Amino acid sequence: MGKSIIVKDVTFQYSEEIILKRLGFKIQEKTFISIIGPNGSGKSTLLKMIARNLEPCKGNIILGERDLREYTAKGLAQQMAVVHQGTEVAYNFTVEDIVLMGRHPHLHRFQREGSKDIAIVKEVMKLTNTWHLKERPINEISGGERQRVIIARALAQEPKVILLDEPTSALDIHHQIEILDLLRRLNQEKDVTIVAVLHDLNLAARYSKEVLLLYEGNMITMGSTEEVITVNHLKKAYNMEMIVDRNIHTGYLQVTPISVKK
Amino acid sequence: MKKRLKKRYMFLGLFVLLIFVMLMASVLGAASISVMDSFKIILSHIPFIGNKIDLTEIPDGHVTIISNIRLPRILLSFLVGYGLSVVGTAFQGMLKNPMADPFIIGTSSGAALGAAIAILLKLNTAFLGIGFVAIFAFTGALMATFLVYNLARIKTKVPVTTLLLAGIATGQFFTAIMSFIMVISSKDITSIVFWTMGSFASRGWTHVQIAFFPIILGSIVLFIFAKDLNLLLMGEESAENMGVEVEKTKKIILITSAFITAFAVSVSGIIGFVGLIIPHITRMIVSPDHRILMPASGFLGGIFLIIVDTFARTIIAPTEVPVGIITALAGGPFFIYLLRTTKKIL
Repeated sequence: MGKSIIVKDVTFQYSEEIILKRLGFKIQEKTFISIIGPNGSGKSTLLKMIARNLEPCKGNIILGERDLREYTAKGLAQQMAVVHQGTEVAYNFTVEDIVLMGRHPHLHRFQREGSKDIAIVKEVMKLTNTWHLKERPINEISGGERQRVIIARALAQEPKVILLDEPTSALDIHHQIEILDLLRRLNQEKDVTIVAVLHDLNLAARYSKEVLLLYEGNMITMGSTEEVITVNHLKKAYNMEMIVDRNIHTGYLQVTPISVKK
Repeated sequence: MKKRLKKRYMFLGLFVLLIFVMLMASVLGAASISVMDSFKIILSHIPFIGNKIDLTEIPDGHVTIISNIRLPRILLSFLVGYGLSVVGTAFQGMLKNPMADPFIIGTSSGAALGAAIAILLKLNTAFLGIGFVAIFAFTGALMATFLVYNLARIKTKVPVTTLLLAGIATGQFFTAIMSFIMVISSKDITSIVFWTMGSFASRGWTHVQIAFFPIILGSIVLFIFAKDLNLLLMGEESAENMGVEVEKTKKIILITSAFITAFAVSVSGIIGFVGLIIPHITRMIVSPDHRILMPASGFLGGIFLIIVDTFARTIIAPTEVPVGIITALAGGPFFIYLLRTTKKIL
């Protein structure tokens, strides 16, 4: 399990405005990498490009051994699942129906979900602690529960890579920690490569093995969490005075903003 | 497994309801014909068992009324209701928007304009006449659908407000051109009213023959994409990431929907609101799963339009009321109700 992603000299622009400038890096298989950076730095655009929702204007992205463009729609969905921002579903399906949709890449057009699919769905729902919700309508459960359901649906695809766009931004701290603990467990136990765009630097520092720091479409640095989360790097991107030290209780790196630079 | 059994019972129930409604619709009207006689006459049209039915005791006039006037009209209203409801379901799924239907999107107006141009050019009287009308209607429907879709779209989303504005503006514009064409060509205001409000008056077997295969085949194409429609409800990007070829699927659905609408409009004019109300109600009482929702709302839409058309021809008989008036009477308030309730979701 796990697949590496190589981003080669990728540029993306909307008409004249350049969003990402000649990015190049490699995401190791089985890693847990956070993409951080201020608003408008191109984090979501980068994620959508890796997800093939957007096509790079120049350069290419390689998943495993093959260029992203070479995968069929279903073929790619078997390798990679994506959790986008916003989990509202237009009509009221039950939670179980939603997770079953994750089996789509493994089924032919006229094939119904079989006992194997149902077993996989049950397993991922237990793993994400959503099994007890299975009969509930998707729009009548809480935001944290819905996020877990969407992650269960992603897992039902049996992907080797999961991309997440700010999976915790709309949640309270209890649910934030719950979701990130779950992602860490998936990464450790199932060897799934996790790529997450995160806003919260402390959560990124606490959970990820590696961090990629973006600023105005450029990569400032990428490496292990310890190497990237430093005052010097963060100052460049966020234009702030800050303190980086270790939390005396947890031992994780923590970032404390002091003041905005004038 | 339980679901599958439930589904089977539901479709059986809908089928029984359809037979019952057809029978009732066939006996209501100026000539009083008994239910039993009507049943026998209808049975005589079914292949294999048809020629075993003894019609000798039934007056010839009754046989003619049922066979040549009421039965084709009932079948046609079923087909049109079925087609419009399946298309409405597909639109509502694809646009993730419960306010969408072929009438509001402008597809019906486009089709009607196309058909009117064909009639103006006297193509309907030429060889393969009705075929030409349908081709023109299809072109008009396609143009209107793509125009509204692109006007209403903001990036990848189609918000309710822009959809309604674009749909109504385009629909009214096309209807106005169409009415103008008809005024100069025929000067017959009544026929314009019946065309813009929809009617099954004096439709016969030829119309059923024209509409049957295109509407049924079109709906089968849409059924094939039922699963993709379910996934599209999760958002276009998410659907893509689950292995749906989104752009291709959307194009096929839009084109097929325009095709079905074109044939429905060619034989009946513009009937509004059926494709809006029926999918919505079916989604609430049956399931939001398009694999069940689409055929079920097709059936219910057909049954609904048979009932509405029966009202249309009997309510102030012998004068006919355009069916569109009755569907709008039911649909208008329903539309307002939807607008009020969907505020919460959207």
